[in-house]
Order: sequence, then C-alpha cells, then structure tokens
Amino acid sequence: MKPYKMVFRALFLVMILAQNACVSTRVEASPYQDSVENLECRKESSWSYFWGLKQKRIDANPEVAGNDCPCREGALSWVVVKTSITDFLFSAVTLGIANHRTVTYGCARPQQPTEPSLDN
Amino acid sequence: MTPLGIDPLPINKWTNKHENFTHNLVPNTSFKLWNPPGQKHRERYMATTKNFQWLINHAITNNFKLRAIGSGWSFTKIGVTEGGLIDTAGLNFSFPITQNYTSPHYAKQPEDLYFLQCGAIIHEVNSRLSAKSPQRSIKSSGASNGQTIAGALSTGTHGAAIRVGAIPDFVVGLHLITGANKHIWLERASYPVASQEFVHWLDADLVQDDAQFNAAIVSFGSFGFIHGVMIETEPQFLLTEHREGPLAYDNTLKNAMKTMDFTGLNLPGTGLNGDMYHFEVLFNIHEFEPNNPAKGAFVKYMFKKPFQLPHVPLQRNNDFTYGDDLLGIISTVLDKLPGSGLLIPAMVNLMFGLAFKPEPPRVGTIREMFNYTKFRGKVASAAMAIDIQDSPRAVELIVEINKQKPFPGGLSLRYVKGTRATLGFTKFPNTCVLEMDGADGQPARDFFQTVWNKLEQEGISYTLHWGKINFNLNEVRVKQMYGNISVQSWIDARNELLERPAMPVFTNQFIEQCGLDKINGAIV
Repeated sequence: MKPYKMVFRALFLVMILAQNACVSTRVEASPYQDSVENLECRKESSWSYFWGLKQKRIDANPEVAGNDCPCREGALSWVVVKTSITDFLFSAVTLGIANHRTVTYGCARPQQPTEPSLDN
Repeated sequence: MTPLGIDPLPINKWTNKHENFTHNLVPNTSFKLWNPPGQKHRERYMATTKNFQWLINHAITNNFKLRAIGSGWSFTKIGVTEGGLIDTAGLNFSFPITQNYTSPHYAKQPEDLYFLQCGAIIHEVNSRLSAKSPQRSIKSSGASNGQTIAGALSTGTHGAAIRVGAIPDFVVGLHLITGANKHIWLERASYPVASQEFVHWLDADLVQDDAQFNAAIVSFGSFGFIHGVMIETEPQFLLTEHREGPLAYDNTLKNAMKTMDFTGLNLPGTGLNGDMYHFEVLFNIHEFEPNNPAKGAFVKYMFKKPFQLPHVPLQRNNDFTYGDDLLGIISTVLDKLPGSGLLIPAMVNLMFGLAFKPEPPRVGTIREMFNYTKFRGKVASAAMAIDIQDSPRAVELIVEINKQKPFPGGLSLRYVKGTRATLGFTKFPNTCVLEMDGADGQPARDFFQTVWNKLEQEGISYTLHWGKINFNLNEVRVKQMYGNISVQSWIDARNELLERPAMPVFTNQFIEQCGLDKINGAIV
C-alpha cells in the first residue's frame, strides 16, 4: 500500500474513532427503568452558552408542557452525560462560548409499596 | 387522541440494548402503556386489557404492524416489527394467588403461584418475592435480571439450572390478548392452575390445551400481546457459587461435560452446601491447549440449599471497568483497519480477566447472584443449544475454527434442563448452550457463520437462541432444527388462537424469514 493511502486510512480511522469516542459519567440510583432500552426521546442534546450563563434544562418532568417522553413517576433511575471529542474540540475552539453535551436518562419504574391482592 | 393509559411514543427508529442494530419504525405507530388509575387493581388491569385491544383495533384499521417489546435486550430483530413498538415495561403489577383463584385440580398450593403483569422485570419479581414472609424465589434465572417476564419467556431466556430449565419452564399460565375482541386465559389441560373465579377476574375466555400452551410459551410476541403471566415459585433458597480454574481440558472434564457426572472433577465445596444447581464451563479459546492445566477451562458452579438466617445479602460491586464505548471502538477498528485481526488474541487475553477470574466462594439468593448485566456497549452474542453428549466435540471444532478466524471474545458452556416449549431452543433433554460473547463486528459474525456451517457439516444437531445473533435462520433450518411436526404444531396453534384480522398485525419479517407466518387455509 502506498504511503499516502496509509495516511488517508489512518486519518479516516481517527475520524471515525473521534465520532465514537467520548467521556461519559453515569449517575445511577438503579439500573432498571420504566421503559424499553435506548428510547430515542430520552436522549437529548444539551447546549449551554457563554460559560454556562445561558442554558436550558433537560426536562423529564411530566408536569412540564411539551415533554415528549416524560417520567410518569416524576423520578429518575439513572443519568448519563457524554462529552464526545467533537464536543470537546467545539468548546475549545469557541473558548467555552458554546458547549454541547449529550444527556441520556432512564425513568424510575412504577412502585408497588405494598403488594396488592386480586381483591383490592 | 389515545385512551388514558396509552402515550404516543415519538420514535422513528430504535436501537437495541446491545447496539447490534438500529431499526426504522413507521412514524406515529409506537406507544407506551401504563396502568390507568382506578379504585381497584382489577379495574386498572382490565383498563389495560382494553387498551391492548384498542391498539390491535387501531393497527387493523390503519393497516400497520405492532410488536410488544420488553426491555429490548434481544440481539436480533425478533422483537421488533415493520410498524410500531409497544413499550410495556411500565406494566408491572404482581399478585399473590389465594385458594379461591386456584383450580381445585392444581397439583400444588396457591402460595406456589404468582401472577405478574407482562412488564414486571425479573429483578422486581425477585425483590417482591424476597420481601414475602416467608421468603419465596423464582426457580431459575438468566445470567442477568433486567428482562421483562414476558420478554424473557418469549425468547426462551435461560441460565444454567441443570435440573430446572429456562424461564418458560416455570410459567404455567398466560393471559393473551389475541384480537380486538378476544382475550384468553391459556393453560395446559394436563396442568390446570386457575379457578373459574380467576378467569372471571380477567374477564377472559378459558382455553386449556397442552399443544397450544407449549406453542405460545415461546412465540416471540407473535401470538398477540401477553398481558399476564402465571409463574410457579418456591421457598427462598441460597446458592453457593464457586469459580475455579484453570482446569486441564482432559478426559475427566470431557466426561463431566458429556454426562453431568461431576464426581471425577473433585470440585471444591461438593457435598457441603446441597446439590449442584448451576454448572458452566468457560474457555479462553485464544489460550487453550488440551491436557495443559495452565491453558485449560474455568468452571462456575453453584450448590443449592434452603434459605437460612442470618444471611448477609450480596451487593453489586463498583469495580473500575471498561467504558461504555470501548467495545464499539474495538468493533470499528476490527472492521475498518486492515490487519487489525492480528490484535484479537492479545485483546481477548487482556479482557478475559475482566470477564472471569477464580474467586472465593460466595453465598446469595437468585436475586443477588444473577444481577444486572455487566456487558455494556456493542456486544455480539450467539448461543447454540446442543445435546450435552456433543459438547466436547463442539468445543474442539470451535477451537480449530478460532485458529483460522480469531473470535474477539470468549466461549462458555451452560448446562440446562430441556424445555417442553414447542419451539424452545433448549430442546434437548439435557441441553448444553454454547455461548460465544464478544465485540460485535464482521470478525465475530464471520466466526459465528463458520461455526454454524461446521456443526452442520459434522452432523451435530443444534438450535439457535431466538434472542441472540441468529442470522442464518430460515424456514429450512427451523424445520431441520425442530422437525416438521413441531413447526406445524406451532403454526396451527397460532392460527387457532389469534383472531384472523389480527394475524398480519403480529407478523414481522423475522417470522416470515423462518416460515412461521403461515395462515392455514389461505389461498396463496
């Protein structure tokens, strides 16, 4: 293989890995959730601007209007915040004026504090 | 406008838990169910039954397909359809059964029965049974516990319970929503469990039929919506787990693998903590040499004894482990970088220690022992069931194939009692499930294909796990695996139970590919 092809392939691979690779933090009260895994509407882009002076909340609250995928119990099971290499570079290039993260969450399952009987 | 208890799900595509595929859905056809409020649980349960029927009617009227989905752990498209998904994970009621709801002909006691709504997950069921006084337990579990009960039984989820079997094997009744105007309580005629009062509680039609029950119990969501599941439980018990190895892969081990007679192995702990309950053999096939103890097998086994206090519950550890994206990155490198396959043995040797290492014995309940899956990210898993007699030969064939096509993962053999389910993949009276788990990508898939081809060439009879990677399944192979009579019996049961207008709603490409979608009497 010619050297320029090798370099091209290596660059291509680095680009793919850069898209895939990221740093994530998972906060977990329970790994179990009230829904099927990987619900698209429970993965949100989170933008903040001007070093955090302007930012929008990610809402899972069922009482907030326009929420596509609310947590019916009003409670979360786990949250993952991911920063990709692209996110990192974007923050660096804009000197922190624009920042992006990806937030994924799982809602708490319906609780059954006392076991019901068929008669109640 | 949907009825109370049905939320539209704004999804157009969905990726399974293990990230093996992303499936496109028809917009505005997916929904999430929850139990509407009501005075009594019966009222709430029946409202959800009506909601299932509303969904079937809605799908028939608007000509689209539906599939109930549990936790979404399956590795294949068996659990999805070319229409919409119904998220049932929020339907998690569970009820103890009393004498008046038990058939007078039931062979055991009412406290042995437990009625679950479809979305109850195994962890939840275990927790609720453990909270009873005296404590109870499910009879067996898969390796982990995040599946819904309906999802786990529908694909034949299994562990390595050598005398109990897989999850469908302790299910004794199903509440099936089989049409816009029909729902049934289905149980075996030879093993009645529910009284007329229970059937009235459901407001369902009673069907007692062994063949139909055995077909419906492993039917991948294609017999309608499973709303309720009756399982049998037993008094709480303790498992003592041992992880040993490496052991030489020699005639003694091969004999144990072929016969499940473990006496020659002199396993530590034998005779101290009850009978053998769980038996599993693991191989790093990249560091394997017959008769060499340093390059041999590892074993994981558990003994079962009655629950006793004091018992300190086992807790999940929080060790440093690989990141969520690691397997995805490995998969990308193996697929895209020429020559990267040479890295596979070194990579597997490095990761095998993370996946399995000998440890001191530990004691716990089923709830504590079979915990949330530790596999995260882009995982490939294929599982073949074979007769235990064939297990050493199959291992040796796989080791040979690995020399030509390195597999980015490990091999484990889990021993399970055979099932009565018509298309249950653990079909051999004494079944050995060969599991090949690793990083997904073309090398893994090439390896699976080569192994399946080799078993066919060598005349080793096998079946494939319905919920794991099984892309070679087709009508011919399904008939070879289960036999024409069993396949026809399954198709007949589906035709008899499902209302005719509902059949297209519950037909997906996967069952078409397997030739299981046939409509009896249809003019083709």
